[in-house]
Amino acid sequence: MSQMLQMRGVVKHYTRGNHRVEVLHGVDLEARPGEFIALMGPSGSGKSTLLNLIAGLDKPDRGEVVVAGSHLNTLTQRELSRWRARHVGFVFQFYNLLPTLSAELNVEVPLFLTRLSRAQRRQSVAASLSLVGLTQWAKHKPQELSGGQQQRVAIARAIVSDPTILVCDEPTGDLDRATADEILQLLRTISTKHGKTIVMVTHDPLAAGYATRQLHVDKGLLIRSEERAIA
Amino acid sequence: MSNVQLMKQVGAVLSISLRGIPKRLGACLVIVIGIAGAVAVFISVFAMSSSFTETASKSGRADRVIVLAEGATTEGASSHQRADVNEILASQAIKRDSDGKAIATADYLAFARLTDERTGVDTFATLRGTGAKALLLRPEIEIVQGRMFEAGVRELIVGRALQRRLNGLGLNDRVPLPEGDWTVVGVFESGADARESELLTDAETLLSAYQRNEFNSVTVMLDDASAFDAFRSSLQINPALSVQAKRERDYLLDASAPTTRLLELIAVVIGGIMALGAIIAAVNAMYSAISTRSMEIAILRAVGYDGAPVAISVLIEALLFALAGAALGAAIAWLFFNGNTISTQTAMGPGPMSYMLSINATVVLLGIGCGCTAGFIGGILPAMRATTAPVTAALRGT
Repeated sequence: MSQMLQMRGVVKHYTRGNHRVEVLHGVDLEARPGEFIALMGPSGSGKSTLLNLIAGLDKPDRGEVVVAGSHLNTLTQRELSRWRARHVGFVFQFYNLLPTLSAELNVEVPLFLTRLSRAQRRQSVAASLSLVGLTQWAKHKPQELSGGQQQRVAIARAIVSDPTILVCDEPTGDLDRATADEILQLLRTISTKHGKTIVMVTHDPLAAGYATRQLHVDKGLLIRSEERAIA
Repeated sequence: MSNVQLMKQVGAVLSISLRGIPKRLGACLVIVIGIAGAVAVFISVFAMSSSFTETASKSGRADRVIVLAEGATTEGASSHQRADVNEILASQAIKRDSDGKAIATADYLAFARLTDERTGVDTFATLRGTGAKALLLRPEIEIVQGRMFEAGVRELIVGRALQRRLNGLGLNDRVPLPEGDWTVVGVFESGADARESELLTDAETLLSAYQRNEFNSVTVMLDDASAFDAFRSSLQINPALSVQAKRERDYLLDASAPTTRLLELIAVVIGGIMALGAIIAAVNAMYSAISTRSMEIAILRAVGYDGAPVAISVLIEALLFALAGAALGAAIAWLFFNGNTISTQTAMGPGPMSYMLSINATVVLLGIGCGCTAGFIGGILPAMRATTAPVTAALRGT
């Protein structure tokens, strides 16, 4: 597959009260497999909407979204659920871990959607936690972990089912600089060494510096693209 | 999605949800307590109906037949002249004792005014004048204290259930009736049936005291149950008689039916109102639970869980709470009401009939079934909400 992500003429409206507001005005975007893209822009520019469309959480009103070879416009909600389970890993700003589950159970949650046996699931969970450096924290609940550790658990959950693409919504927005750098380094490793395509929304130019391409969104349009080589 | 996959997802979502119960214990308890209250009331009132019917029809035997005047539905509405009684007792289908006399009694019903032991309020008791063959006709009657009444003397025996309920019915106590006081000479038990709520005395003495000359009913014992049709035919072809014969059990069921229907109606109305309250409580509590779990549900939906397992898990959770509440309600009903003796006015006699509340397995299962239904109904709307709530908004709302 030459392109991991293709968006053509994507338009998206939201209804706020009695007003219909166009958030995206015909966005075109392409991403190659293994690319690490940072979506930047001011609040309300449409970057989170764009991320939701890429992740299959929402559908465009016009235009086409093709991710990992699937035309997301044509899928039903049930098909979209299955598609997300197979292809998408999520990392959120506030980690969004399930507070009643241990770290390893949080990571195992997406695997209940697969046909893996219990032993295979445990093996995948252990590998993911090892990759993010949290093996010894597997039995701990989220409230017993620091913010950085919680985000690592969230990343382990995002990659445990070997998705095609990772969507990250402000993954370092709630972390201090040093911890943020660790998380971003981890994401870059996942992109470069494991070949995962990553699309990350961020306000932080330093965070965006870890990406291979920076896309600037303003008023519902992609206004600039900057590509940079990984050091 | 295969059924196995679906159940696996349901199990995972349910497991995650149940782990969160300690954090939303209050809302969960609202469902449990609401359903428990409704089920406890429903079981108690329904037990009244089923226990009443069981007690009323308990003494009915297939080989015993009651004869009433044509058109009468109860003994109280029936009347037989002495000549009619003699014609009835002449039937060859009636079982005879060693002396060749019909095992049958002609009964006259009156009432005695007495005081309720618990409430202190004056009440009535059925006073049945019966014949010399009463103990042969009703072998279930056992004199457990004192002796049988004697004919021609103002004596009576009292049923155990009635004695427990009313004052002034101890052995040798005197009961004020027309033409003076009558003495209690014995106490009988008859398997906690309807008869145990009566006073029994000699019919002729009672008729004399009340200056009456007509009986209400004639009850006979047949040679065997299969002789019923022959007995009934013998009465129907007799031009001197205008009577109807009913198997005793059928009569008791028919005569108690209006009271049974009334009690069932009360059970349905009160239980229904309580169930409606429980459903509303369950809807509110489950909405609250869904609201509390909105982030959790959004995460699950985002990572690929379908709406169906989320909805099913919400319904199962509501059912589990309802089951717990229903079990609690059944336990409360059993602890507080099982074995209690209560009395209800019936069409079967002038006095109320005492009976023991029996919270049996059937009533409990019915109550639990109703409780679970209420929980299930209460879970439907929240389950739909859980599957339709926008995922993206919930994710960003954290």
